[in-house]
Amino acid sequence: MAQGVCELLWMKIILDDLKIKYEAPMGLVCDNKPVISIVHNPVQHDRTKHVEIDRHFIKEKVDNGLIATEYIPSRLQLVDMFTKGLPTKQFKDLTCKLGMIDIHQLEGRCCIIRRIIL
Amino acid sequence: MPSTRSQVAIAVPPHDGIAEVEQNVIRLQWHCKFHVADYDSHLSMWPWPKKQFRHCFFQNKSRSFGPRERHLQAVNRIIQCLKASPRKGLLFKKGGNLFMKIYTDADYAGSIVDRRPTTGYCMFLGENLVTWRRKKQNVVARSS
Repeated sequence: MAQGVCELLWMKIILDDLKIKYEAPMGLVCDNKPVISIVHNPVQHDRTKHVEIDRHFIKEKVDNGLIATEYIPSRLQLVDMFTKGLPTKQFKDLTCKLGMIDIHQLEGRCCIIRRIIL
Repeated sequence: MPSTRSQVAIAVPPHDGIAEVEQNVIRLQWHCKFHVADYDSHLSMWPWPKKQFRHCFFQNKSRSFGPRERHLQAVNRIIQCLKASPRKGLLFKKGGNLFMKIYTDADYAGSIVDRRPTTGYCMFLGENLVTWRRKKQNVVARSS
């Protein structure tokens, strides 16, 4: 999660460089409810000592309004395909959701549309 | 015990659909999940299904090991995956909002050999996928 936050901050810097103003909080989606509650909960538990530094880092960003955490059920979690072995159907659905498509097929379609217009 | 990071290179003929990558050689780094659980069955002969895969060699950075049946299965699976999705690409759509969203996930002790977790994230700017990453961690997690 902390790595994800780092990535978000990096992207914000790039957007700033491109002179794009980005005011809204950035979404941080996670399928782990305890993690989200630990990020929001000010009480330190005995078992979460070793995540203290990362937690404080994320908590700081949440408090500043830079990021907003969000819960997603595991079956819709896109990153599962990077971290786990998934059944074929779910894997295909997720690749579609990532926006991975057959480019050459699309080129063909564009050509047809162009021909119709002309 | 096999190492956590190994490399395999397979030579594939150019008409096979997955060629034109680095002079017809695909280099793959696979995850520790593919690693061998049985150390008895060494692969002395490579029962490649066809003569397509003429050259194959294993590189290992930390420890030496012999290729085993499981490695062959892993390689076959990777090639199946590559063959099933040729000519795929990412589409960047124009317009829409610029809402930044990042999906994060980690599997708790996902590696069967050394119980190390894998974390990953992928980042969307609007509806377009911008960056993604998956990394096996260097530490053993005691909690998810």
